[in-house]
Amino acid sequence: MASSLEHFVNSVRNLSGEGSWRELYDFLGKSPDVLMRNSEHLDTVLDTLDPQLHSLGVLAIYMVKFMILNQNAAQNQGIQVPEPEVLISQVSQFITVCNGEQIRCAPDSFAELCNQFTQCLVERETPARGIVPLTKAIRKARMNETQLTSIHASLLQLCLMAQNLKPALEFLNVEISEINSENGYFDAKHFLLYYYYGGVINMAVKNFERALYSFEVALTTPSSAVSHIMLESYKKYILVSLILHGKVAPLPKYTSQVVNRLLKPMSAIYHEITTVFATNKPTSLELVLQKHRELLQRENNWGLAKQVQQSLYKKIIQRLTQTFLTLSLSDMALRVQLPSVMEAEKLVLTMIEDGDIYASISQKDGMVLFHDNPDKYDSTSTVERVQKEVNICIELDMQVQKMEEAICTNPVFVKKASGAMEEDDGGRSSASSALQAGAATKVPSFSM
Amino acid sequence: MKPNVVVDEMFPEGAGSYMDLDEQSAGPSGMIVDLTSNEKAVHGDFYNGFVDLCDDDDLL
Repeated sequence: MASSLEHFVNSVRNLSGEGSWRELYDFLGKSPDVLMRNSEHLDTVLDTLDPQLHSLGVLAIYMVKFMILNQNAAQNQGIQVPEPEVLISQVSQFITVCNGEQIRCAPDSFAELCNQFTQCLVERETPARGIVPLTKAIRKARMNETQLTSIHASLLQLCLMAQNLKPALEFLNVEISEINSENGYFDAKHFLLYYYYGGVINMAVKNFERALYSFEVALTTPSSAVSHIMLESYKKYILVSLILHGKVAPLPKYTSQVVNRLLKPMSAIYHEITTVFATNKPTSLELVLQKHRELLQRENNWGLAKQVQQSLYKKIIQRLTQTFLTLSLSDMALRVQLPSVMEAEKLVLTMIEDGDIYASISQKDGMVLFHDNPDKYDSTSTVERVQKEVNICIELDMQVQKMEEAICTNPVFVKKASGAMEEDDGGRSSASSALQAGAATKVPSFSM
Repeated sequence: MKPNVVVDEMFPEGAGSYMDLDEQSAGPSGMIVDLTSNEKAVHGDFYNGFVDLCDDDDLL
């Protein structure tokens, strides 16, 4: 083994043994050239290191292997290119056994490794192989359950591609309250992708409420340029909103102007669907959907659009319950513009099962009898439900207070606050100097 | 971006004096920086080629 590689191995061993992670991280940042020049010996170096004890060193080697893999043939002249299949297996194994404490000292490198690993699996069309390793990677990389990492988006992408959604739910059913900046590696794209993919997954498992929330978070991310992720979120937000509420829920006031100014005109057919939906005419809606079928299919929204059609039938039936006490199935099919009595019966039964309406069907004369809500809200289960909701509100309030305290005690904020106050008092010069001083300081963490 | 008129049921008297945290130094909230670049559209290369998981043929 070349002496430079021996120096690499010795440094990794010594610094790992001492627990000098910061020094080791800095040393590894300067090592890629050496490792690249000795590509034929990288597997030998890996044999001399323990992935548990020397996680940062091993991580650096796999990073270089991916670097070589992504280079073109001209750049790789005289360099041993790793076999992708072998590298995928090696990295899967490494993610499983690596030391969490160590890799958290190089969050940017670990996130990049997971990203390269994901891209490799996507290119080879074997997304399912990455699901288990990435779930382990997230658990190791995050500081707590509610912290978001860039690996989250990669995992959700693989789950969607593999059509295996269950492993993703564990990471979607938490309230994200913190972002792991990964030494600056975390980007707006990772944030938007987590919420966009999360929305798509929740939509697929018919958790429309959560899906709507996910798209809303993506849509309300501060921006002044069009993000394609936000645009797709917007289209799905409209359709999910129609399914869930029968109308498009207004976006919060803090939504960036770009959404109204640019995203709306770019989603014209979705607004056309909304307008026709509001007329309560299923045949008109069907015509519009058929007219735009090709585009909706191309944008992967055809399935959702069909559910919007179904939702309009339900909305009209719900309106009928406010007017009639009884209604024949044939009359209902006519009023709702359903193709047959059987379709009407099927839909009413589904709505009864889902608790959308309170009714019964008399098989004798084909009549639907609408009832009042039998729940008087005086049971212990209602009290429990209210208590649960109150607890959620209390927890949320505590979290907001905690975040407010963190901001109020943030040196940058304090400097700016005092600067602004002086400005109000006419102290313009001192304010600007405080702002300049503040601009040079990084806010260590940011909670949403 | 500072709105001229602030109308909010929580703050009927307006937002009062406020300031923006410096965007460049706002840590992960630096996402605003990414999206306020001069490019007219961003993230055009994001992966969205999944099968339509909501398309159940038996729905209609």
